[in-house]
Amino acid sequence: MRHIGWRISKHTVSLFASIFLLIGCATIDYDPQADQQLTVLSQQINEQLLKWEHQSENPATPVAYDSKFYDKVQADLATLEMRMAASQDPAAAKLSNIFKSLNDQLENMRVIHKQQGHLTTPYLHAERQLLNSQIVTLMTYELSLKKGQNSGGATSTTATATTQKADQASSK
Amino acid sequence: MSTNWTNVRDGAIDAAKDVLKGAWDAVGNGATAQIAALVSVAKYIEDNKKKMEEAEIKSLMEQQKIALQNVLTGYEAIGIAAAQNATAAVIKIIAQAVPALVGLA
Repeated sequence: MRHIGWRISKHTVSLFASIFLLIGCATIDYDPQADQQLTVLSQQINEQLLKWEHQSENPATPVAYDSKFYDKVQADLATLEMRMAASQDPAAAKLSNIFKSLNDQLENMRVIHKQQGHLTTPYLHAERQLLNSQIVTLMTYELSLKKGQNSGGATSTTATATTQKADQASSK
Repeated sequence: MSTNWTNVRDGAIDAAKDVLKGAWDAVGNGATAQIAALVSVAKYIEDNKKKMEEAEIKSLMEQQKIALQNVLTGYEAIGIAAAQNATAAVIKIIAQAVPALVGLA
């Protein structure tokens, strides 16, 4: 009887260990590298578009089409999407639409730039604002993960954190 | 006749609130800021359309709709269907104010 009790006890311990392991797998970790990549990507886009915006103000120096910028940004965007999508957070599934939209926006901009041979100042200004409004959503997601990690609990995205951060960022 | 963009912004926010209903409590602050930003971009495009190429204007208006939808979808409390409906309501308000803007119908 004592022998059977020991076997049951070992089974129970294994069962609880498996459960705790599964719970552990469900925790979403903040990824500082993805956060950093997102920041770098945002800087890349804003620096280039601002430079072009100022350049386009002078009719003597139109912004000629340059595939290098679009190739680099779209490649970096694809890499970042893969990294962020690797998260097990169900909320991350909603990010795929934003990545698609950002890529489509950049691709549309590339086509227009190539066809026209230049881009106008107001177009560049509005384009940058629209791109940033979606990048802010991605940054808010990363900030909410970071906040969860810093508070010591399991990380998770929350609508409240997303709302507050988007509020602050979009006012710029 | 010049457009009263404050009324456009307020009307657009009310339209989104009406569509999102209960979800508005959770996301109202952020959604308000983003809708206001969208209206601001629409105003900017309207003010500067004579300085832009037609292809640029069309592209921007389409991107505005998608940007708003994606921003609203980013809030966990809002389903994709609700975000699409809210977007349509907001665009309708802007289109009523400035029907000449390309791509709004």
